[in-house]
Amino acid sequence: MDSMLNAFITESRDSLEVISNCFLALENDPQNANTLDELFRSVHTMKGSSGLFDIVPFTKVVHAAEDVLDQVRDGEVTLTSEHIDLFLDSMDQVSAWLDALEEDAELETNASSISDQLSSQLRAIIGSTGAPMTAEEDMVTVVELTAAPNWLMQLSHEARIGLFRQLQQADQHLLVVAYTPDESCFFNGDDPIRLMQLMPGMETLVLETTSDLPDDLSTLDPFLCQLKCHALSSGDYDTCHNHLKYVSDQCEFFTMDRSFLAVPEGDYAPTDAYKLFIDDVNFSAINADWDKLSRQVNEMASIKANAPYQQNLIEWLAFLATELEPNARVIKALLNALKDGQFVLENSQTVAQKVAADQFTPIQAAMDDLIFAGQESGVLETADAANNATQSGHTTNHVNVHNNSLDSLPNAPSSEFGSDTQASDADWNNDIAHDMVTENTTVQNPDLHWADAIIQVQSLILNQEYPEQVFAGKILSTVQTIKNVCAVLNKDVGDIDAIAQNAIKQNDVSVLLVLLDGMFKPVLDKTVAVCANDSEKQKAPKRQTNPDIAQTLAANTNAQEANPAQPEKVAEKKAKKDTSSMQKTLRVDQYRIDALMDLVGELVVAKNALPFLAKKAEEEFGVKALAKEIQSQYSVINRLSDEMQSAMMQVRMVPLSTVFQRFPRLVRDLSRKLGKNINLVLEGEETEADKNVVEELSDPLIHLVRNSLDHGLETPEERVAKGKSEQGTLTLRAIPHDDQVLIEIVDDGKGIDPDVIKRKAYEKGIIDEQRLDTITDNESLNLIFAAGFSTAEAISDLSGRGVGMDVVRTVIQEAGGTVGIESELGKGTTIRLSLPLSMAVTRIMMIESGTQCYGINMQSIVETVKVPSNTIHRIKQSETLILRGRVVPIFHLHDLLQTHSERKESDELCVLVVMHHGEEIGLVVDEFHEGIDTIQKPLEGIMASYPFYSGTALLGDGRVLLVLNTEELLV
Amino acid sequence: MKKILIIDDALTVRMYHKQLMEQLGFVVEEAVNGLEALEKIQDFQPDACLVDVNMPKMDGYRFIKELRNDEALRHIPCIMISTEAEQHDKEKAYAAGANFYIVKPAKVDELQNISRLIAGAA
Repeated sequence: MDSMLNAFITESRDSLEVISNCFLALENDPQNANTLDELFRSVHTMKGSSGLFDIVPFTKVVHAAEDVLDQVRDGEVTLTSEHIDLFLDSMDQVSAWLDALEEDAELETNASSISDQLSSQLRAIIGSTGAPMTAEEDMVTVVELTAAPNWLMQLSHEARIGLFRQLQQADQHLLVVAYTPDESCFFNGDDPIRLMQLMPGMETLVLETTSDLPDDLSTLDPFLCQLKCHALSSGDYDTCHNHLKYVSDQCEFFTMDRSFLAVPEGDYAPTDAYKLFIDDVNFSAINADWDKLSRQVNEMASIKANAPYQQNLIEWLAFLATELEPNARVIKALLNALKDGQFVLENSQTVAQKVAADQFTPIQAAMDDLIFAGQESGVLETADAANNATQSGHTTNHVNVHNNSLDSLPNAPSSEFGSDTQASDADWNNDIAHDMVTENTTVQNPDLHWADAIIQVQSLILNQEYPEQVFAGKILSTVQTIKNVCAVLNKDVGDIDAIAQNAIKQNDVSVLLVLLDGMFKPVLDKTVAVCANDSEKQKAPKRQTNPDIAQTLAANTNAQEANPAQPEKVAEKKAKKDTSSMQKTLRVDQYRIDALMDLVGELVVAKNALPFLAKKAEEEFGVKALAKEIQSQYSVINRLSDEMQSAMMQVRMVPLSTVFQRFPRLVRDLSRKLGKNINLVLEGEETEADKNVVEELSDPLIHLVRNSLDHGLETPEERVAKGKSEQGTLTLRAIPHDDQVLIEIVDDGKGIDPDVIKRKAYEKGIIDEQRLDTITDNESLNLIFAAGFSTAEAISDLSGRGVGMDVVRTVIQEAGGTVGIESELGKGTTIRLSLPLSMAVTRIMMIESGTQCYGINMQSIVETVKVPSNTIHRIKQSETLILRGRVVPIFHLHDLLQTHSERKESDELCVLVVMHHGEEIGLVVDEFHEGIDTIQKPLEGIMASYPFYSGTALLGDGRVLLVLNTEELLV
Repeated sequence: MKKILIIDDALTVRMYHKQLMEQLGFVVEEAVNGLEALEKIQDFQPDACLVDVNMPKMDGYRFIKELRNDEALRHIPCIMISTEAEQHDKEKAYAAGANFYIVKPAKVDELQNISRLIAGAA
């Protein structure tokens, strides 16, 4: 199950991403139906999937969100920014829960209170508090009634209609309180009736006696309370419960849809006046088109017919149809009553409970018989569990628990029984399946119940009217279904295909229906009869062996034998688990990819040993032919490893959108907080880079974007005053560039004043006086990346948390990248990050200086030139080189490294031109060598304190190469 | 060996249903929406389909309707699985041409027994 939870977490994270994007899109375009659909679907998916796990708080919030969005989608509610804030907060919480799930496989202990709060806040958007739901799901004793309590009929029609009308503005659910005072309550000084009358939100009080009053009233003990109080309250559970807290053990609380107040009264007189109306209204009711139904009913209500019962009923219909959530069950019952004067509220839940209760005894008897017959002790447990399940049939959660225990038992034929008592709604197949299952669990081949349920649904389908073009399809599919079911049960269906063809030809399904009628019924009927028979004998001692049951049990055993070796077959099939179904994408743990990547990296480096080997073969052993062969093998291996590396890269590539996507939310939240009007433009999101790089990028980018929002972009007033457009623009742009990716953060804000930076840096002792005079504007801008620099006058909530731009630079450099800044005062600022596409393998150029080899990252190298030494000019204290018309300052590497080696005097100088803070700088080295692919390892231990070196790399011949850090070297 | 096509946009649900179906010895194919299902069903020729309602591109109702219009495929039984438990949702499913309706999250024994019988797997 663990892998499923993981899949759920991953999938939900994806959904959350989509959801958050949708909300942001909706803020600009609240009516966009596509976005709403996508949003709803994502939330719906999450809700559906979460139902598979035991994470009620999670499901509740998502469910609330789904319900609200459903109404939004139907155009009944329009989302405001505040609503979206709430949704986003809820989704943040959901995301936090996902993290918790991933870590501990369960939610925090406070999840359920948070969930209650969020879901009720969400539901408040559509004006329904969802309080009864909450109570029910929390297993507080508030159960929702699925039918009107009987005592309600003691109220007159007028009283009920009056009550309904009075409540119309309030919550659709009423609290039903049943208070049976203790018989001796008068001796405690209790006044039950007054207590009830004072209950908050008290609407109606109905009194009953607990037992029939004796004929001779003189025998009645007036000091014993024999009352039962029933009340309807519009107050909520908590306050009412609190009001009755001293007698709470004598009270029962329920909630009830106020639609149940609707019960038609009066004498029914059949009339044809409503015939047409009934058909029309029925149609609307089936389609749940309550608006239309309401119009139809109102039209009808204006017509006076001499039929009090029907008029009374229509009055109710008119009210019910205008409810927020019309109660389809009550409406349908009313419509049926309009037809025949019989008001019967079909109610699966109460029916289910009733059936469960009725069947309780025979099941127990059957179980007892089983035990009696000397079965395994497992069956004993089954009996107890079934017993419990029956008793707690009305509490869904209980049943679940027992159901699990039942499932785990071998040969527990009653497992369907427990689960089916949870059937929550009146429906076709569930009811049918339910009836069959409950009545026969102990004594029948379970396949028969399901088969009968399926067959009955097929008959219902065949009974429906069809549009012509799908008629054949439906007939054929039902026939196929029937054939399959019969094949499983070894039942002969005769020439059903021919019958089906005939039915299609003649457009008449009656022959088929006759065939289906009672297909599995005879067998079932018999056992039902047995059960019913037994339930009449409820009071008979349970141990008594019932010959009927014994007989049926025997039959059942036979039936199982007729279906031989089923478990073995299943196991066999499981073993031949199918491999043909392949998924298009593969989700792999990142660590596995990393491990593979490391191996590929090592291979790339290891192959570098081959050229050395070839050299050795030729020079030391004098085997030229072998050297040649090694060389040619090397080129093959080289090509393969290159391909392997690039394939590996492809695997690890993720689009930058994964990082960019979080910015719309961030910018939105921050700009609202700062009172700024900012338009975020994302460009080049589809650019791909290595996952590690993209992850590394995330924090620096957030920091930079915050900086831009906080310090760069102005408030609308400031912008207008400066003659700019009111809305500021922040652009995040990704550009692929060779094997690097450039990321630009561009704002059109106030820009950075280099003079201010210069002064600040001087004040903070980052630069000295001499530098202050000579520093260029560009160089001073780059000072903001220096450690310990922060220009913010006031430390705000957003940026300026003590970590400055130097942290950004450090992180980017660690990832092998560079940072640059450009700014024009009053116009805006551009920050450029340049990152390698991949961090794993870097290309390094080898150079030689003072007999020592060094590596320089290929990224920073612009070109290599060899120039005559007399072309070097001395300007003040520094040397420069004029290179194709550009002045390039020159440094000697051994000076920078302070290696004090003899300066090699020659006519020609090797100059390595590198890019440093946007400027070209020449490095004089002794010799250039080849470029190699290596895995750079960071310096560790005492070497770590040498900032000039960014790391080491292993060469093919086993030597270690120091890789220079030009950024530090050329400060 | 019987074959079943699972059509659902939620990966978790697909995995779950796939597990349950494989326990029964079914050969399972998956599709993420009705459109993909229509493409796959031609070659796969399943004995039954498990169809989700709410899916992008093409929902379950549309899928079943399209299927019922296809001469070669219209006989394939479909079990619709949905989170909605209302009567009218069920009626809508049957009107579209579904052969059975199961409320999600489906009970294991219901889903397994119904699928097994409807696909004709002994």
